[in-house]
Amino acid sequence: MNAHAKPPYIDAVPGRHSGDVCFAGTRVPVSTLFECLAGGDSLAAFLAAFPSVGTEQARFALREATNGMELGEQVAGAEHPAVYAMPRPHDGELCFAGTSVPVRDLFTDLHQGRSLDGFFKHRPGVTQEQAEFALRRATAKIERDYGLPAGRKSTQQATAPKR
Amino acid sequence: MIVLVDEGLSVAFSKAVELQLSEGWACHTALSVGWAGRSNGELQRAAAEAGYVALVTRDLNMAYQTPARLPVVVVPTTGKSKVAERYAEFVAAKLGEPSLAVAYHALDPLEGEDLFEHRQRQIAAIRRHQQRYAQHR
Repeated sequence: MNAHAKPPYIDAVPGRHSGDVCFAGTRVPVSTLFECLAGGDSLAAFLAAFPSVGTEQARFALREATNGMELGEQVAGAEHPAVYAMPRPHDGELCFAGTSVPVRDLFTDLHQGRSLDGFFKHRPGVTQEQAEFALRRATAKIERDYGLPAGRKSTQQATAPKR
Repeated sequence: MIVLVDEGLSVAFSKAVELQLSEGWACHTALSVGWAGRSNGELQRAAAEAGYVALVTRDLNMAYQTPARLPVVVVPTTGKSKVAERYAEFVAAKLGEPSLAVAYHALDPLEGEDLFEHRQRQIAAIRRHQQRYAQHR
């Protein structure tokens, strides 16, 4: 909405965009941000394409993606050890598999305005698939943390009479 | 003839659709007319009352909104610059069809095929099959 939008930065409202987690006050789902970034856009390009989203809102979503990552993501690393990421032996920091690049750095770089191409140049060894996987996981994480329970996504369901 | 483009689709996409549309047509974005952050029902109602001929959105469930107030075209993409032009062509072609008014239209992510028509064809095929089966009995 504007650059100084107050929290909550992202929320889910029944009946708005089918109850998806959107940037507050807009009809832009947060998944859009991660899809655009995975497609190679920078943060600035995303903000230009979706003018209703504020800079702080988008940055908040990127910070949220890594918030509490250690616990949740290590489980994911166990599922896809070869393709995605593993904890670094000496400090347990989750890194892209086959590299010493922390997954957190991807989101920090995107937060600072770098595009995915810039990230690859800056931190060699990470593959496109790994980065896209991390961004898809971020969408799922935010949907899990901020999403509505399945039955409350549409207003029509909420107002339906009980039998 | 003015089409409303939902907020979930990029500015580039709305411009690309506008370029593809024939003369006398135009695109407005939900943001530019001050309808940011509205719920699905509110947006459809407002758009129908304001006289828009169709709504282009990313939200598949808009197509199933009841009662349907105006034709909805669902685009399965964020409409970022790289893919925008390809889909814009499909959307513009869809908007120009006379059948637009009777149904919703969801575009297939790969082929740009109309999922609604696809489903209608499937249903017709099943009916034919059932009839044939009934005759054999």
